[in-house]
Amino acid sequence: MSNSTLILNRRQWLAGAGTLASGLPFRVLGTTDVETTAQLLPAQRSVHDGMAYVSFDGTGTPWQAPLDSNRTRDYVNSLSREEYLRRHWQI
Amino acid sequence: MVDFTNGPAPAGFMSPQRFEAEIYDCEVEGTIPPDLNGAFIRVGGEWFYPPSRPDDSPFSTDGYISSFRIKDGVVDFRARWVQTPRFRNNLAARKQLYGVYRNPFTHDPSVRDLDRPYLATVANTSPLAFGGKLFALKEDAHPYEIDPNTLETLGPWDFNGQYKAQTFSAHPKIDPVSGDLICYGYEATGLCTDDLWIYTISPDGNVKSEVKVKVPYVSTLHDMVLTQKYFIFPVYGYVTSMERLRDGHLHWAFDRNAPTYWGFVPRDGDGSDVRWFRGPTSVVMHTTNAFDEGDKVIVDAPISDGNPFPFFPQLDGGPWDPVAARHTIRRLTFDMAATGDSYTEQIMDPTDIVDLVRIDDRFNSLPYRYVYSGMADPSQPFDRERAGNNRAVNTYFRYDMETGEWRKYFVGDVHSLQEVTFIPRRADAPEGDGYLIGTASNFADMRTELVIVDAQEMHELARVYLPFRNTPQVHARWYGSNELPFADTPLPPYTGRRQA
Repeated sequence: MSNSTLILNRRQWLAGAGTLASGLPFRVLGTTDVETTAQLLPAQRSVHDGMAYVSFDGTGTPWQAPLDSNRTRDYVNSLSREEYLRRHWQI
Repeated sequence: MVDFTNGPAPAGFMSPQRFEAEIYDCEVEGTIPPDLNGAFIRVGGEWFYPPSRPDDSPFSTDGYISSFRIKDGVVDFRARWVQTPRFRNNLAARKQLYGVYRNPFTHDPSVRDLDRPYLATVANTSPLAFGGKLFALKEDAHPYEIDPNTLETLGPWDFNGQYKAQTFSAHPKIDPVSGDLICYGYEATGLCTDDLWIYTISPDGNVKSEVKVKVPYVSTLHDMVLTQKYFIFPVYGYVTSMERLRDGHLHWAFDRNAPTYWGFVPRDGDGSDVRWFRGPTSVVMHTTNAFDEGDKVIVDAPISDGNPFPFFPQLDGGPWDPVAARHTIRRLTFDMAATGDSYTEQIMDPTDIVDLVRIDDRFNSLPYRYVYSGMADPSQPFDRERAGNNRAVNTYFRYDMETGEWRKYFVGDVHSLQEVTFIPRRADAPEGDGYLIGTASNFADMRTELVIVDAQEMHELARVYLPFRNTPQVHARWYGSNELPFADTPLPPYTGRRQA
């Protein structure tokens, strides 16, 4: 398994899912001795014809989340919770 | 605890949503043709619980059925899980009990039943309406009957015990001449068996004939074609075995050296007269149509030279080949008067298309002209910043098998289309006169949209907006109010209190 593989917990995913998207390799948990070349390459979340799957042979097209839905991420993260509520909810 | 972190899609458009839905009176832009009275019914799947292994196929996702009910220019939407035994067992356990694609050896021992693999079906592939009943289909089990109005699951259906095969294809055909349902099951007597059983069922639900055939090797007989003389089955590429299943693999691997066989069974025969033709390696996951022409039989299909699904591994361990996965419109000619086992194959056009092709179903098994499907038209814009880098099926097309003419409809620069369906304008309308209907994923706005298109002019008539992204679709069909007993008034009665 490559040193570049990561295990991401749920909180980390929610914090960075938009930019991390699905292209990052991740550690395959609980994998038995599945087909073959996979063990030499990091597994990669991929998408094919609208279906999400995990590519093991390096041929998968990684899913990249649309930037539009994350456009305000940096702005929102730059604010304290109090300032966010004051500006956007007049609280 | 449910955690999709290590699933194939923990975030983004493809991530599971897991809810059922109802929208009364959907948001519509444009004008829905007032003569449309029926429902566009989609069957697909998503993970309710994460897969037990990361190498599992998306085809193991839990079955989900949704309906756009259209009448008098308005649309009501409803979506439900298909409540198979597998789905119920998982809910009861609050976790995924099942292993990889169609391999009971990998299931939790509490649900491992090697003699009844059909109990692990997810019913996630295709809808069927026949004899006034609606079904959700998957090729590893019997059809699951669904209430066409509530979409509640009524359970598996075996045509009052007359259908004996353990499995039922996701692509049965309805003969437009007789009205009969032509259906079949492969691996009909159990896991990895080479039994193909073919049934003809009359519109009243009675089995008229049962034909039993042995296939050259056990493979995905996902689809078939029909002429007025023959049942025709392609056998291709994907292989399996009990040894493979015992070793814990997915049901299918792709053997790049396996020949393609086409089996012809006379419709009035008994199976002993099956004739097999043999050709080079290919994949014929879906078919277009077929018809008799004197002593010849013409078979049309979107065919690839290799494995179209990257999640089904290569048998030799090699990498997936995306070039060999491309589909083109092809015409095969079989000379039934000749004695050999070969056939001719013509690529009608080199354009790469989606293999979910459709025709005007009134011409099934008969000479016809128009093919409909989707394609990724590179001449159209795609806004990758707003929509991500997913391959976008941005265009529905009509291809004329006589002239080679293409007509196209472009859906938008942040969209990807699912399978198209053709609806004739009237029962007696000429071929091609009608509408195209299908759903599109809007990646930028994270929602699903239904489009209705004039099938001749290829311009959009109406678009229905769901305020969320609906579960991925495998196949969908339009069923008119003459095919299913749709309720005239879907507004549920109010039984609560009222202020005087």
